[in-house]
Amino acid sequence: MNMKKRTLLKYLSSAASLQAIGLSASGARAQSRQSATLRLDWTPSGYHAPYFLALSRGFYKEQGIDIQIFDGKGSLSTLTAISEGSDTIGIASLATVALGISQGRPLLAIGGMIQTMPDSVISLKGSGITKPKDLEGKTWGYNPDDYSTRLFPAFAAAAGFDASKVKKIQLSHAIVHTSLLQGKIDFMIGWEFTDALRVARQKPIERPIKYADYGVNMLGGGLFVSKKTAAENPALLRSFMAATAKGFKEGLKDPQAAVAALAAARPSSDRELLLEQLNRTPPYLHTKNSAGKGFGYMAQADWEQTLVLMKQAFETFKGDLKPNDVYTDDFLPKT
Amino acid sequence: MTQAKELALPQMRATPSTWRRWLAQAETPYALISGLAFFLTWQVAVDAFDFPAYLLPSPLAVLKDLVLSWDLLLSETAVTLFEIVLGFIVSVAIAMPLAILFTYSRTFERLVYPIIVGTQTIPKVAVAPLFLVWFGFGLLPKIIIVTLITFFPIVINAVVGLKSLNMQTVYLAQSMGASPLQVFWRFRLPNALPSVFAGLKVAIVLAVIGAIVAEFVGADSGLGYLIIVAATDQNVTRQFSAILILSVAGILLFGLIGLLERQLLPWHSSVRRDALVDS
Repeated sequence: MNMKKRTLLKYLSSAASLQAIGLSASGARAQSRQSATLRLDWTPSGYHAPYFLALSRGFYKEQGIDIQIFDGKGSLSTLTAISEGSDTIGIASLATVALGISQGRPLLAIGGMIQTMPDSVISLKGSGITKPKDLEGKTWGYNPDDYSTRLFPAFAAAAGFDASKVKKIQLSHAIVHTSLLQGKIDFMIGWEFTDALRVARQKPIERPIKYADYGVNMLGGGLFVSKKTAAENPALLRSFMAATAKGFKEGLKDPQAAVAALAAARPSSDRELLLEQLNRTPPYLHTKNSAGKGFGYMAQADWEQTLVLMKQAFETFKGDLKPNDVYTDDFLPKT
Repeated sequence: MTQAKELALPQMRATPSTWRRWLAQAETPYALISGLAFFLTWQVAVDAFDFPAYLLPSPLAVLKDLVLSWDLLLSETAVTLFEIVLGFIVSVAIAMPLAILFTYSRTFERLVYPIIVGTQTIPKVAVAPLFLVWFGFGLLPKIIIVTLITFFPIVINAVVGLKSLNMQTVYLAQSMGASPLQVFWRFRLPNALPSVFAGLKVAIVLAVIGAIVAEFVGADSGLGYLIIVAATDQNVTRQFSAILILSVAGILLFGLIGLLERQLLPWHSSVRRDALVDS
């Protein structure tokens, strides 16, 4: 009910803004220009800055798109905004998108962004956790709605320790950092370039142990659209991806400018933190399978692993999806 | 209206048919009819508009989930119910003595009442994470959150009820030699009970919310925990199952308070029906 209402509100607000743009543009130009909205997965982090740079430097305009960027409230609500057509392009965990597709949501992934999972074991200095085997007998503050939680058994199998020997306490995101700092838990699992940083600002930490280093990896935050948009408006998506790729190229070259563009659009954000996050983003933008193929390129092998892991981790992952059912690289700029 | 029928019937007929009397008094059949209509509308709407299951599951799908996973759902329900009931009892145990103190000491009321009102303006969702950090991860923070959220309506209504005693009654009792304690037990408290029960009814419904808020923040079991896990699974049907159970549990607990009220205040049943309409 609430969700419906929100979707409706979003629809109305985007419709209203589209109209405003339509009115301001001249008649002739309005025909060639297209309007679209981009719905983020969350409130902006450092890795979102290149989108704002592309917007402020007019890369989307060059491609003939008037784009508006809206914040999100978690991958799932962005999924609904896209599948119900209230926004054009969404950013969400592509693993979540795949789960949605398996449940009948008409979606398609069109570009990878965070392709290497930054999910890592984070513990304080002196915790004695320097390798996965050390986790046995330790207490883990876990969050049931994290994918890293669902992948923990796969991580244990790959890294060779006994997951049943780990003690577990369920904690929400709001308190897991504090609990770790207080010593109420021995370790948490969080992003190496966001959560680990936050903890390290308070107390020294051990080197984070990354799932992906043990071969357990799923595609994370990426771009997706509804199947309808993909079928009806491929030109728009090609233009969008070209402008976005340019935004990332320029943004990674000049992170300061990218963060400035983001901060101008979202004045309440913490510039210093955004900059640090953006600076640490590049290694996560590709896997070894997709390295060197340009921004957004997703490799079939990575999708195969994502689908296998999702199927293992989620009872609700229905059917037998193949990579081609969930993604395409067709809209990426040809390099 | 039901009241009038109930009173009129025995006079109109020497032997009123039992089913009519039952129908006039009972609430359950009416609730069943409106409940059934609700689910029917829901089912028809899902079928007619063809809502995808990831947005709105049909009541039949929810029913199927309830039947197939009854053992899991039952054990999670037990956890949440325990938190609700225990938190509610603690809340009553604190709120009632406090209300009595407020009634008898104006100074105490002036000192403490503003603080209580002040704490009520804080959204519990905002402080729930702190309680977990302060009080650990067990049952305690959940009980505290339920207590905090239910405490206010109980105090407010009890104070209103306790203060509403007619002074003339007090004077009469005193003139007949009643001690202050007797005035309290024989007059003030019974006079306050309808109001107290109004507060309890609001509180028990809030207790359900409190328990879920607490479980959202940090729990290993319970219906709130189940809802979070189901959301991650994108299992909307399971979310609806849990919500439906919560709603039914709330109704039953509310009914239980009503039953208790009827037992304690048989003379006051007409007011009770009015109060029900009010709340």
